[in-house]
Amino acid sequence: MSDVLVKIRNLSASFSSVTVLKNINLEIPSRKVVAFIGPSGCGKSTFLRCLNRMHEEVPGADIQGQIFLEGQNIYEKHIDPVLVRRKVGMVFQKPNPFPGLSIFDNVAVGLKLMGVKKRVLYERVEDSLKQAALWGEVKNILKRQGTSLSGGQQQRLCIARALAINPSVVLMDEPTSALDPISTARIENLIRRLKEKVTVIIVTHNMQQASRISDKTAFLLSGELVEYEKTSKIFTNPSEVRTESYITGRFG
Amino acid sequence: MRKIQNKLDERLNYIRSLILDMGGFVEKTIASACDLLLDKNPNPNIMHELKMREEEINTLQLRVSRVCFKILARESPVAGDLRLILAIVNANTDLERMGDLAFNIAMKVESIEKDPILDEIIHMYESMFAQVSKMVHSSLDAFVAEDERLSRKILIQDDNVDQIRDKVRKGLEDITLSHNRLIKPCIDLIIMAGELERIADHATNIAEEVIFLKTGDDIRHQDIPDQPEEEYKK
Repeated sequence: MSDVLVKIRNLSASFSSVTVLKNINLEIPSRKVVAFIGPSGCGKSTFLRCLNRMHEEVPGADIQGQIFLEGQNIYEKHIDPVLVRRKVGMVFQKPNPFPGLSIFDNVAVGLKLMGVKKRVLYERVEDSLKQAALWGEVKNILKRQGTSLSGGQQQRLCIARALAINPSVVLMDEPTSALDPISTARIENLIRRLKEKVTVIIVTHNMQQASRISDKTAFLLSGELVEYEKTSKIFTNPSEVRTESYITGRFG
Repeated sequence: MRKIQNKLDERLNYIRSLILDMGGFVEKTIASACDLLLDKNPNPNIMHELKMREEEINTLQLRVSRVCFKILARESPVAGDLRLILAIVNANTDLERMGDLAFNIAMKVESIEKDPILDEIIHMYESMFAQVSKMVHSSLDAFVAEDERLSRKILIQDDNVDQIRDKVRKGLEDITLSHNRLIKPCIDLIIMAGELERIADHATNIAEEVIFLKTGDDIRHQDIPDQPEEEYKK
């Protein structure tokens, strides 16, 4: 049994008066890939945004309950959200390299903000790009704009950027939905390798992707956690009828 | 959430109906073989008809496997749909084998030289045929209704067939020792008993597939431990 990295207790979240997550309780193991599936509007993205305290940035947003990361409740008053986000990196649906910055600086920017010394900076950037399986393609063009890369390369650059600051968790919100099958396969292989070092929590609408890459899968429906199980169980013999109906495409 | 009319359901129902057609042909072939053994079939063209039926079963097997192949490639079925496809793929193989075995039995029956000494044994075959036919029929009923309870009953019936086969074999061995001239028909009858017992095994396989389809549990060879999750990930 793996160690628990993130423990979520009675998590509810809302926008203005609309509740989008209802009393979620679950534990995310260390160094695993966990997929969140569910129809649009079920609360998957809100769930991710609660994990790195981005949800509260939206005006009118409210959150209740506790999220323990490595045993520490990230919603305690004295905790700085910026420090939480150093531990919990995020990759979005659409690749979003910083415009105007070189490939190198896209990865280095977070490290510079953290005060990483110049002499180790290059090493850390190289290491992050290698982890993101992009180094071989960009090592000779590091000064080029990040936005000059292809969509798949840009997404791997964003993953390298997220990895550079050594997070414990990387959140991915539909990271391949804008990519072709080859770029998708590269990112999926990358995610499989990443779990040697970090926990990956991925939101995806692609059932096959969830079944291919994740160790555990959570099914959310109307803000409720319907089922959270080993991925092989969810996709071969789910316990809940609602899960079966959703993954077999019989409800929409 | 609203219910979506699923094209996959239509396709699954279609292959289910093909499986039932195959099962029907297999049942008829077994019945014909039994009638031949008991001299109840006066139809002079029976062997020709059985050959045609066997070819029909082969054609259906190919149709089922081609549709399953396309569904797997194009629909990426999961959960209950995936278990159903796997159960159908396996049942398809079982039924084709059952058809072959039933046809082989009919061919042997036709060439067996009857002798009054064999009458008692042949009477035992009648009950073996009845048991096997019942198992095949029940396995198809269980498949259509996805009936786990009926499937478990079939698993028990398999033991009865094995017992009759053992009795038949012992009786035939005794006859060969005392009646040399009957060695050839006795050998044919011993082989036939084995083939009938194999048909019962295939019906048992279908029952096991129904249990897998219904529960997700693979009950075959339970002495072999489940494969650890890590092995899949290699």
